Amino acid sequence: MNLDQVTIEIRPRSAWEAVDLGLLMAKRWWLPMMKIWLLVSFPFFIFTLLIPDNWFWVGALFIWWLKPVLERPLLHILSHAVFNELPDTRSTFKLFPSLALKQIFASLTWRRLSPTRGMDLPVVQLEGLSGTRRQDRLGVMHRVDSSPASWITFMGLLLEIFLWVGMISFIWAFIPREIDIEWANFFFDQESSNLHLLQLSIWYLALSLTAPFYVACGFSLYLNRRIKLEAWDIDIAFRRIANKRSTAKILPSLLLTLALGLSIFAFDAQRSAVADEQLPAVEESLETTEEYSGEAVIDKPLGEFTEIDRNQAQESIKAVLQQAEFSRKEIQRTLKFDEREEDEPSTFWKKFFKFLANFEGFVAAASVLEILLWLAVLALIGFVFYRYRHWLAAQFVRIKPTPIPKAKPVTLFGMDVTRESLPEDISTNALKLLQAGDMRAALALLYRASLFHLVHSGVEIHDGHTERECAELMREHFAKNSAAQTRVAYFVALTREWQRLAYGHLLPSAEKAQYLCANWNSCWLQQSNTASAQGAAE
Amino acid sequence: MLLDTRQSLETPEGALLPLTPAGFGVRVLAQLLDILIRYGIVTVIFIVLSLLGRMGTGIALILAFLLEWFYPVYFEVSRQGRTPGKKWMGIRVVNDDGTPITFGPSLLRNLLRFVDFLPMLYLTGIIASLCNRQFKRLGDLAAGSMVIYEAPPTREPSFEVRGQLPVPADFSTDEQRALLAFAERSKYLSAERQSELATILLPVIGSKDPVIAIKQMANTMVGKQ
Repeated sequence: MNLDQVTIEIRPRSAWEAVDLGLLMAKRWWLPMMKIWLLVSFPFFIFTLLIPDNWFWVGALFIWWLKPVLERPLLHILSHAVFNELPDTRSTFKLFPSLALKQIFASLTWRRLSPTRGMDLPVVQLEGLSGTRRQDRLGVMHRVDSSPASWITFMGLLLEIFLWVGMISFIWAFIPREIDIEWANFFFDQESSNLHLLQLSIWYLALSLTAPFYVACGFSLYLNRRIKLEAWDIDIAFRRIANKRSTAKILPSLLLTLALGLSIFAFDAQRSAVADEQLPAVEESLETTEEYSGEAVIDKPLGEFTEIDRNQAQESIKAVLQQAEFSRKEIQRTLKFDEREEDEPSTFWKKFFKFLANFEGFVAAASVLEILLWLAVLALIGFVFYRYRHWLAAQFVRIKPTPIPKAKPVTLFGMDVTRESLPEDISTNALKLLQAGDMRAALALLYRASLFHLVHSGVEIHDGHTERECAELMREHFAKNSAAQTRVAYFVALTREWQRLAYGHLLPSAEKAQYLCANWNSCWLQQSNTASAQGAAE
Repeated sequence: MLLDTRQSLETPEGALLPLTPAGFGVRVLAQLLDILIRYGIVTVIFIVLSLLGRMGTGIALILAFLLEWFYPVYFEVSRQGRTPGKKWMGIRVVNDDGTPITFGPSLLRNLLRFVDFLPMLYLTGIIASLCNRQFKRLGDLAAGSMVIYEAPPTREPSFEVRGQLPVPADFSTDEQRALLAFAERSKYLSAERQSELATILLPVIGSKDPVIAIKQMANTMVGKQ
């Protein structure tokens, strides 16, 4: 194996691409492959012709069955041609017996129907493996990229059959319509056909046409697998790199040889130019064509064109075909199953089926079923409409989405704003805290209680709002409610003091704090009924 | 000339576009899959519409006709030359110059399908595709289109070796590519084969462990540590 001499582009391909390469290979070496195929298989074809007519299919099967063996010389040719050593037909033919006999028994018995036959053949023939080593090797080969191997076997078989039928129908297309024959019987019916020779020949032709492609595709799959397994392309590339670097060192001597070669070539060219001039300028031996001196070929006048009466022609053809020479009578005696007995026990069943056939109830049942089916269809349509109602509504009608009531927040700015966290009487508690000296806690309580009331009177405060925004929201919310203005003013004042305290650590003045604590109840609780009613209305 | 399935198109800018025409094997499978899909849909249409009586059958027949002729056209035009079957098999239809197929050529190549189908099961198409290098059936020849393999998606390389090593300065692009290919595919090579291959380059690289050295050079090329 010399990778420098390859005649195909070595690179890893996908499995199907490898099959395509096989097609190209089969096209390229079509002629040598065809030659050896015909040489090897023709004797077997002749042999099949000797098989009696009524066993004609055995002949067809026989030659098809032998394909694995007949394909081996084709693989031999391909495997050498890929490395630029195309063997000639004679040497391949001499090799045929030794090629054919290798594991011939297994190939023609249990391995004959193996779908991956095309890809496996090289393992036996080129690597010469057998037994478990062959099995192991096949395991490696089939691990990836081998799915087309079965497909090409299947397609090859189909192609053979289609070619066979296609060629027969092609011939049939040339039979004039006037001859009224039942063409299907003519070709396919065993009893009436006398064209076994033709059929067998066409079958052989179909096999011959597909064999090179099948072998090449199988070989190409095998080759692709090996290229990938052994990285042939990298091997080639690396050798090229190494060679280039090593030749670079002996470049001067190479140049010298090249120069010498060139001078010799130049001398040669000169000499051939001289030789060209010595050729006779124009060949003048072109003789004038002989005059035609014989009798006229067409001696009858052509006459007028008479149209053939097709019906008459058909009649006369039929009359001729009905003469004794074109027909023969044969008496054939064949065994047939006696079908009389089967009639007797069936009288009951016959009656039963007759009864069933005339049963009126079916009509009613059928109409009920029909109604049910229609209902099912309607239900299905209804279900689909129901299932996609939102989507449909979105497509055709602009319905304002129903607002989803938001859950009231439980905590705001990290503070608890639930009823449970607040004491019953805010002002009193706040004043208590204030007297205890904890001004921060007092104001916090006031602020929390205010927020709680705001949230529950419908002001939409959420965690992202700042204290100032809360005040603004409240102002907007109660803009039309003049009764709540004192509350708004209170909250604005409270917010300012709370901000100063919470962020600036600036304590409000004592009277201010006192005022806020004392007035909470009067500001927030007086009109809470009207405020909450208003909040609910919005 | 080396026998190869890949063919390069040269653009006016002088760039080479490698295209790989697909032969009939893979296309037969793709077509088989498309037929299964199409006939599945047609069966469902017929079952549902036959409930509507003869009118329904008429509509079903029209739908079946449209599906038969325009299923491939629709997918080829709207999905960059890929019908579902073709997508499954990793092939697609393009114009001769490698551009995505448009409505006109797609329609032509699919209307001529029935010529390729004659006398049965694409025999003409198969024979025609074997008679030219781009595996074109008659419809493709008329429409100026061809079926090619899609390039497999490139994955992020991982060479299982740390460290970088400078690539020798006199390595050409192809030679660098060979180094990269070695590193990328070493996962699928046996350890013996790896060292065998790398030893070829030993005089050029001059390293103790050429396998690791080449992989480290590959790291440099793809920018890995």
